[in-house]
Amino acid sequence: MGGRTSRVVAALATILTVGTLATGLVAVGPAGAHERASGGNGATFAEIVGEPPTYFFPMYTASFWTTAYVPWVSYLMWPPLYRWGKNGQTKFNPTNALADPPVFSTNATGQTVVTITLKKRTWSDGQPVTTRDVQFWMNLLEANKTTFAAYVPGSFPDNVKQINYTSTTKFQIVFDKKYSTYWLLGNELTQITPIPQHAWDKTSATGAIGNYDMTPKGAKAVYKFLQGEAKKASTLATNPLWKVVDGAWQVKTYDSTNGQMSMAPNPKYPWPQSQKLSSFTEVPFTSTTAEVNALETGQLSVGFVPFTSLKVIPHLKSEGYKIAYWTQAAFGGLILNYAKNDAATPILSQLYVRQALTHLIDFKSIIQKIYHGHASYAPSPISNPNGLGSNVTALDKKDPYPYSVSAATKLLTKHGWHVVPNGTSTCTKPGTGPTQCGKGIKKGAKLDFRIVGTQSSTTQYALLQYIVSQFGSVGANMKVKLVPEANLPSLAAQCAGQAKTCSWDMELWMGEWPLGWTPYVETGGNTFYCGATSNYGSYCTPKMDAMINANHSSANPIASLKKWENYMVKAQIQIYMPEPAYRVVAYKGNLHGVTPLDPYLQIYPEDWYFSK
Amino acid sequence: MLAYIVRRLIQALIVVIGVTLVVFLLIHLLPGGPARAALGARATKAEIHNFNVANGYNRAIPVQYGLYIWHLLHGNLGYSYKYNQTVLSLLETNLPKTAVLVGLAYALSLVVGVPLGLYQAVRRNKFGDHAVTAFAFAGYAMPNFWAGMLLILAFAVGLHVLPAEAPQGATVGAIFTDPRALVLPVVTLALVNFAQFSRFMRSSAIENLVQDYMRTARAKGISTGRVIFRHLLPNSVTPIITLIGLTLPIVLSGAIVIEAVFNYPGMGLLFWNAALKQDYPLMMGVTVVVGVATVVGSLLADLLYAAIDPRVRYV
Repeated sequence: MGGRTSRVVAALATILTVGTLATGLVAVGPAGAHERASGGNGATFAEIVGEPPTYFFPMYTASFWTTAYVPWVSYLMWPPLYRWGKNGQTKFNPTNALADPPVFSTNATGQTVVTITLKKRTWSDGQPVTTRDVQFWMNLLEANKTTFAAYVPGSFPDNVKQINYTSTTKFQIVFDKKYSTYWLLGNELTQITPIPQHAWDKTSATGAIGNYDMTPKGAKAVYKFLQGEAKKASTLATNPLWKVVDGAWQVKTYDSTNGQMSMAPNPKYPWPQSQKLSSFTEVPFTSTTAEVNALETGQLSVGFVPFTSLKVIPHLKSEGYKIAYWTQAAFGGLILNYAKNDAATPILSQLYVRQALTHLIDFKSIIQKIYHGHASYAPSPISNPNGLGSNVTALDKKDPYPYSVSAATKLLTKHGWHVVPNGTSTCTKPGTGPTQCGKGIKKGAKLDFRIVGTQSSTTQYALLQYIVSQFGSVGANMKVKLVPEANLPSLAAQCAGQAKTCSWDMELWMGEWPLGWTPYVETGGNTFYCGATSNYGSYCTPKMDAMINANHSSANPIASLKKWENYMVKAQIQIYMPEPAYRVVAYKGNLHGVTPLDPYLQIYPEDWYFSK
Repeated sequence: MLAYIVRRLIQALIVVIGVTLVVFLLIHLLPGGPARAALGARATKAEIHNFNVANGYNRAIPVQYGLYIWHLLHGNLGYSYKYNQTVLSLLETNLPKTAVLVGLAYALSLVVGVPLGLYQAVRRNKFGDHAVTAFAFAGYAMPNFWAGMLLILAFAVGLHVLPAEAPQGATVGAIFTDPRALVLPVVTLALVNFAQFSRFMRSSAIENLVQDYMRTARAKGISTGRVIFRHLLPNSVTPIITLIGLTLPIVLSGAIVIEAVFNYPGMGLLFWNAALKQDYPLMMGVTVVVGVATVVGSLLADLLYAAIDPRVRYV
């Protein structure tokens, strides 16, 4: 080919390339034209990646019992009667309640009675919030209780004997027996959510408002209608039903294609200060990378920095962001399987084995090396986020089984095990004596455990590797099974009271039990009671059940809870791990009211405002 | 030609049915099941049962599959319990967005890659050829999430001239109201794909340059431009047709990494999230669409081949 040919082709290629690039450059304009800002002094807030809200209805089903929906959407529009948390503490918070603090008493037959007086509140359409709205909720709940996510068989509303609506502002609940007032306030009364009877009590979009909820059949029909409307994602912002709110916020726009939702202030809400946000927009992201990019380019008022990207914090600070660590009231760790037909059960049932394994967990090292210092010490189910937890006992605050490989080895050796570090330890002295392996453990039995964990989360995988390595130091042979993080709940639930289908001896699941909305108070009722839905390890003893019953009914609930807590710390039914910060939060330096962050993951954008 | 088309269509239909069957069986083998994935670990047995009944998961798998195909034939792809929308509406929303992003990237790759490949063939082993080869290899070897991050760092975080996100509009029209937001994701995707087109074009053109018909054309005194565009280009472009055919399912299935990095929810992320949540109807919906696109793409490539080269029809 001659030079002429080359020139022709080169010219063609150049024209096309330059043309294409020029097209791109034409599109390039001044920076800042593409922004997420909601205008004026509106704030933007990052939604959880991959979990945009797609549903509005405060009587949520299990599918929507999530942070993305309950505290970040539903509570902003339809707050419950009572909430806990705020100011960073795990305490009842009367300031943002829709009613005065409940007044508890005991009637002549020894049943607990609670009298509640509503505060003066108004729906966004001007109608007052009355006990009829509470009654509407209760009627729908009683007729459809099995679909409400927070419903636990035998508890609320099953344990309600009678409700008397004595006036438009006062009502009285009579329970079927005597209960702990602390437990009722934390886990039962917090479920009650007034909803607008005058706007929602109908069975079709064009039907008239009535009192359909007063019969079980009517209540089912109303619930079915409201559920159906809640599932129409494309009409969530336009459906007049969802415009009637008593919370601080009212939906303004909702994009069903990605879940972006913008809210406007409810003018009828008793705003705490004059400087309020003009709007609150929840912004969806497809990945944490995209979210960090949005923060780095200043497009978000409040967003989250993943643990794997903490190096961007100095840059964010230089761009005017402040950083806070959001610690959650929760517990999680290594769930142990006590299912009756499992080979490892006799071994894990021995207290000395669990004590030995706990001795191998170095909390300080995990907090520093895996969570870079952003985790709370948590040796029991009683959460102590940032050291601000309520009713945390002295024993719970100190490490009852401090890190010591030699102590772990000594415990096993003392009970008849031949310990082979980094090999497989075996039982050499079967029997039930004080220096023998224990009930059900045969001679030659090995410290063999099947452990399930995940590689999907960097920190959980690091923790899993740490545990396997540490347990290996006393000759515990760990057979690791890795599953996607999303499968951990399914695998855990498989083993709750269903020994035959259980495929693990230990499951490392840090998302095991978040507290809040509801229950706010951990009593063990859902997690360690015989047959409870979330008793993933199938732990079942009369002693535990008796202690949990006391937590629910004691006249001295705090003392009862502390007694149970100390027992849990000593017994290590599960091997607890440090509770990591829920999120690292980056928020604009001139946005006030974001902190202190709530340990129950609730947000209060009604308290936020920008300074000049 | 008609018999050939009919034969290929029947084959395509069988492949699509086979794909739905295999995928249906595979997703039912995933551990946990959809009820737990949707309702979470705290769900009671009653809730699990209600969910399974409501969604038909309590029936035998062959019955479920039969019902699925029956509904499919009636245009009903099912209901996504994660997104609270019909699968069809989700596909209607996400498919055009993905097609715009990935389609533009492929068009850009084609527009740049084909002429550059041709240029390289004509100037083979010269500086220009080596320079383009080096650039193409660099683009091809670079993971696209990395390329995307670098471009974001340079143009969004550093220079502040382009946004870090792709357009956030819900419709195709809305996407084009924010054209500058398209630049980085489109260029990132094109960076990788243009290398493919240019390398295929270069190899094919080099092969054709030494053929007798090229020598004859030049000997007959035909102008250089005419030799290249009338003879070399049409004969060299057949591998590109194969690539374009294979591109169709990619255009529709999305580019999950680009969607993740540039915050652009499309088909890739739709499928990814459906898999994480074990949203069976949605997984099946996306699979059917991508399966059909693969078959149609392959069919189109075959038909184009047959149109260009009559010998293919008799194979």
